[in-house]
Amino acid sequence: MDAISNAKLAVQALAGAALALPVLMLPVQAGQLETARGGIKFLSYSEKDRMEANSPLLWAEAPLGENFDVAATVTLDSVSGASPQYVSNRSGSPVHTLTSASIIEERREAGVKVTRHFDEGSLGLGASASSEHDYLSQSVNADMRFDFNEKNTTLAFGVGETNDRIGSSTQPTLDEPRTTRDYLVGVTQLLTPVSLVQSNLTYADGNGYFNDPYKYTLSYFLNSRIPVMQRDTRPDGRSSAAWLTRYRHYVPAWNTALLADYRYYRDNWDIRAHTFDLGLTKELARGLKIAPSLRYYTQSPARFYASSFTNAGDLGSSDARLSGFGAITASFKLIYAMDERTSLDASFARYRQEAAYRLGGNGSEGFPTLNANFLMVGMSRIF
Amino acid sequence: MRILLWIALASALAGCANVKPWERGYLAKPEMGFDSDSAQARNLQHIYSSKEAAHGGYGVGGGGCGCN
Repeated sequence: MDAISNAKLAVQALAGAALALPVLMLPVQAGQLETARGGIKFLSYSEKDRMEANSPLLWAEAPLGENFDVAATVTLDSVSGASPQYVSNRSGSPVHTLTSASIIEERREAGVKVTRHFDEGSLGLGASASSEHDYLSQSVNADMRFDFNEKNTTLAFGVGETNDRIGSSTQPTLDEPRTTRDYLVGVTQLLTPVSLVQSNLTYADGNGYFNDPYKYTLSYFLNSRIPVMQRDTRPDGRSSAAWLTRYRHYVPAWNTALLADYRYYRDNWDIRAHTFDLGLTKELARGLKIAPSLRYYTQSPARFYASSFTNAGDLGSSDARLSGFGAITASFKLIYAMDERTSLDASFARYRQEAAYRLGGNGSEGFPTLNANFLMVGMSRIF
Repeated sequence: MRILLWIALASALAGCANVKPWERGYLAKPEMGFDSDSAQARNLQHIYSSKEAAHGGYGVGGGGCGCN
């Protein structure tokens, strides 16, 4: 490979996710695309004795004129099965009770992004929208990237706003807004010919309706047959910060890329969380790669989380997702390049949430252990 | 304070390395990208953000869902 090609490919790898926007997490390129690309990814997520979700995702991107790229994605989520509805301590200890099996609920999401490329950076504008029968979300965002230090360093800045409307099939009159503004500053740095690091700091400031209209808590106490009922009630604002650092290291002798990611999260609901990812991608033979990985997650409970309430109060939630717990994911992926233009992949992962997995081991009482499987298959093609 | 530390780290990194263009062959491999499979990363982040309290770090905007 000649030096110019090396340089071009390296810049693409460097900025591969300098701004990997959730709104449109397509393979963002540093330079303008030369050809159109597209693909499909199918996710099947299945929880033991609970819900299932199936999500096909289509994506495509193409060069537009001399300096622009356009990218688009469409997703359809179909969710069925039971989910946690209320917590009751009638039996003497907190028990999470599931809804009866639900009909299939669908969520549609579409996004588009246009990027203008310059010699030493880019400017991107994106928009996305999603709809469910009880939830609407619209989002716009902008990002800028600056390459300097002979393209050893890339600085990224982003800003976004998401406007949601929350309804409920059990409270037909519910129609509440929520607005969230996001900010990102990030740096990607080449360290050596075989290693690079990226560090992003994001801040989100949300205002509006954060309650889960489907959840409540029933608390029974001595000498009382009538429970205290606490509807899920959360603060009307949430500010959070996440600091994500990702490291990549290539070992030529093993034909292997190693990855290590860490994210620290905190918010003004007093939740603190740590996420660790470790993995590798090894090229076994020409066109065939394997990628095992491990993920560990731990969080502290929100300050208004409890599994029972003496009195119905202004704030209170027994949503297990706001409790203290930990989670482990073990996954394995196969990637096969059929030819220079077409690639196939398949992944399987096991996910488990448990109170005892919390860092330090003191997870919340009555936390419902969750076991789930992910299965993902995908195909991508260069046109 | 945290932001100041972060900026200091970024500044330090910016001055610490100079990998020449012809030395970037390994860095150019797809598996060295931070989101070499962005569609999969997007699907996974969507599931995790509906099952865990933490979110963010990867980008800005989007992802609104009644599942959270």
